[in-house]
Amino acid sequence: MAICSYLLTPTPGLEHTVLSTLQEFPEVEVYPADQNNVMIVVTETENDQHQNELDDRIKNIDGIDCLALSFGAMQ
Amino acid sequence: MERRKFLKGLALSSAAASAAALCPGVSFADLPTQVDQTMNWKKTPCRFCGVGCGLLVGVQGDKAIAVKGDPACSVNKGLACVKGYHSIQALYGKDRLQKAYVRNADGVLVETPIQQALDIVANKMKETISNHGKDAVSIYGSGQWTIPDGYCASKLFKGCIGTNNVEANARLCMASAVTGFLTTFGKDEPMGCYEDIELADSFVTWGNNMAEMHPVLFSRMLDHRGKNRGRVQIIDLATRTTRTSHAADRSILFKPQTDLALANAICHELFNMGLVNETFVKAYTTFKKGKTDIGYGLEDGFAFKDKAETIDLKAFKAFLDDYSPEKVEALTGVKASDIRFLANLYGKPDHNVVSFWCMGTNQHTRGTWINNLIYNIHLLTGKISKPGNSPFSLTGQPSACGTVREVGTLTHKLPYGVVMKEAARKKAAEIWNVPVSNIPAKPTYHTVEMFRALDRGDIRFMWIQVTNPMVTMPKLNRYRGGAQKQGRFVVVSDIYPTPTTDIADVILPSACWIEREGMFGNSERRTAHFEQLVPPPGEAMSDTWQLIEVARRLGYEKQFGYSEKNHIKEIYEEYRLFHKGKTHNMAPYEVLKKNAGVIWPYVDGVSTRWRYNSEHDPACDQSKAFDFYGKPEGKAWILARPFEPAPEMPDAEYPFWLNTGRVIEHWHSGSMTRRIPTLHQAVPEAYVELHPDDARKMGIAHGNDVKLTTRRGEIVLKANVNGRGKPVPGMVFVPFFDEGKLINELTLDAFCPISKQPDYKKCAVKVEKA
Repeated sequence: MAICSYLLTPTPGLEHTVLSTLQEFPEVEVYPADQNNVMIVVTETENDQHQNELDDRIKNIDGIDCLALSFGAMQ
Repeated sequence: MERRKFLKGLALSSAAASAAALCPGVSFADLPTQVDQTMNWKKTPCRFCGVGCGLLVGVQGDKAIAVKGDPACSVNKGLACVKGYHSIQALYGKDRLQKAYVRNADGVLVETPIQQALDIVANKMKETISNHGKDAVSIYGSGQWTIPDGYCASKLFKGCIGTNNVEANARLCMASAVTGFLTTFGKDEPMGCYEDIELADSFVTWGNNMAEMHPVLFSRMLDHRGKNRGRVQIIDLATRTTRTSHAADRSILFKPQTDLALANAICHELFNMGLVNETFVKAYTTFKKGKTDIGYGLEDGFAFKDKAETIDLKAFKAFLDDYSPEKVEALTGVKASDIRFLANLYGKPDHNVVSFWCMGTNQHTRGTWINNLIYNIHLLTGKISKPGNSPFSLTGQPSACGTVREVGTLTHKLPYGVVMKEAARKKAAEIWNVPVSNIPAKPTYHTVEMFRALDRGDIRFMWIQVTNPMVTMPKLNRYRGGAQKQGRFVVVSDIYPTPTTDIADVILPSACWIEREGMFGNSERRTAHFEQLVPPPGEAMSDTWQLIEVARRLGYEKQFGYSEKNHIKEIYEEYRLFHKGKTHNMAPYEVLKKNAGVIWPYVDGVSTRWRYNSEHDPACDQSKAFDFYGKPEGKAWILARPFEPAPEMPDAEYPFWLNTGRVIEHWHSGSMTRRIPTLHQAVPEAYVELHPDDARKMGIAHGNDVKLTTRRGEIVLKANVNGRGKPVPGMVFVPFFDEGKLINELTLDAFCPISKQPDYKKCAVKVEKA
């Protein structure tokens, strides 16, 4: 089991696109800030290989200016 | 606590702390906290207005205990208004209807098990049909019906029973918007979306107090202006000074009914000032005129059919000759310089303009015409169907669009098309699994005529769901009296006792909003789903299931064989079949469930935000930049519509205009909001607004009793002078939310002959100190 959290800064104007794309991922919970300038992304996967694959998929989403890992726990 | 939950909590806390360090002042409305772990936050559209804000409702056990704006909803981005923040309290009034009641021979309402009450309803329908024919039964619903409610009503009455006696209260609020769309574009509903707000340079509000009636959208306008000081402006056109006027950069008052002349004068100046987009007009529009001197619907059985004739540009310009700013100045009360200002605002290149309107234009005896005329301005300038350029007809109720207009719960409508067209009847018959001969080809009655028919006895049975016509019908005394005549049978489905349940023969307790699953459709073509979040009280049952229960008792088990567990999904997916195609495709049920609303048309997983624009709308002919595909040749109609006066104007005996409307704190007839203590205490009773000069002349001070008299009735109200609203001299304004002060006993049941929508804004009244 791998649980991680990130801070995601979307490209201005693409907040909604990024949010709705992330919401499609079953492994992901996303919490947009009320001000729309940053999002908290929490991921939960079965193992670190699955986590790495998910990381790659998230990084390939258009509209992300910055994705910073805040917490990671792998077991 | 299990390890997984602990780690997730740590992950969230860590990210939240980091966010706070990096972005001071950041907040996350829907972030689960330690306290919230026992509370389930679920999304829903708001119960109230046509803005369609997304809310998150916090549920603990069987109760909704908290509410906040949903930041994931692009409509309101986490904000709500005073009604939204108090919305869940509407579920918990002390006198909530939990049981059915049946009126006995002595006229007393007796508590009755709901299944027995439903038996009585079905048997009465059978008896009425047997004795008086199919057209003696009727249903009157609402723009607060969910989509499945309206769909089942239409299917039962039109498809199974075989009567077009289906109407909804949106006839009283949005019908002129619909006929405005259909006559100009051939298709209903706005071409733009709320994203136009953040892309506009100017806003013009036409007879619409957006600050109180669509407050969250108005907040977005103010926010946009605040971030773009000096560039973005708000212009308020109204017959009364309101909070919208005070917030606007310019407030322009016009005399009642003369918006028709004002709009034509703006068009006159667009030509005069060389601001017409000739290329756009030539390529994408055609000029038409209709009949004039078309009446006001005051007589029973009034009938009118318009006829459009093609005219040319020369004839249209000649028509506008009567509307030069100097000629209309005296009529409208608007200075010629202000008319030129408006024309320049609309016409100047590279300047995005959004027009917003609602009841001031729709509740108007020429409501269709004024809708056409505002579209004329945007068509002549080419400022339409482009991001930031939008004539936007706002909707009042949460699902007047989604249910009444899109499902088609009006006498002439079907979920796709109109009853008069054989192809539409065939489509309905196929999907509904009924013989096409069941569906009558001729409309019967619009709302005012339906209540007239009940009065006359041509209709004997009426089922009223989620609306309060014994407060909201104009010229109320006639229609209340008519509903109580011998031989009439009225069934009312509602959540609280109201003046309408007071006259009912059977009262059915309804589940409210999040006490049942459903969908609403808002002003910007956004369909929003909500789950059942809490159980309804007692024996209360959703309006959908009440209709299904009665349908089965009438013998339509095959057509209404939906499963109890999944019936909302089954009904919605069946309904969706009507709208397949690029012009109106609706998102699948599973997509609605996951999102805070989805705009239609929803084509290949993408919402069409701007219709008729080939860049954004896959339904367009891609060889053209714009394609108004609802009309032949893809050309919108610019309609020559003249000024015609109101049917009843102030005179020596009744020297004032009577205008009616709402206040932000109260929703419609107040049956919900007056049971929410904060909202009720904010505005506890209706009042009459007067201009201070008029008040002074009559010796009336704020708080004095004032008697209003029209040809139809009289009422005494407390004076409100220099309050939130200020009518022009010679006008009074009364909000209609107070069932103890029935202002509609005084209003007139004149209507727009094209839309059949009544005018609640203009009749003649006498004002005296009581």
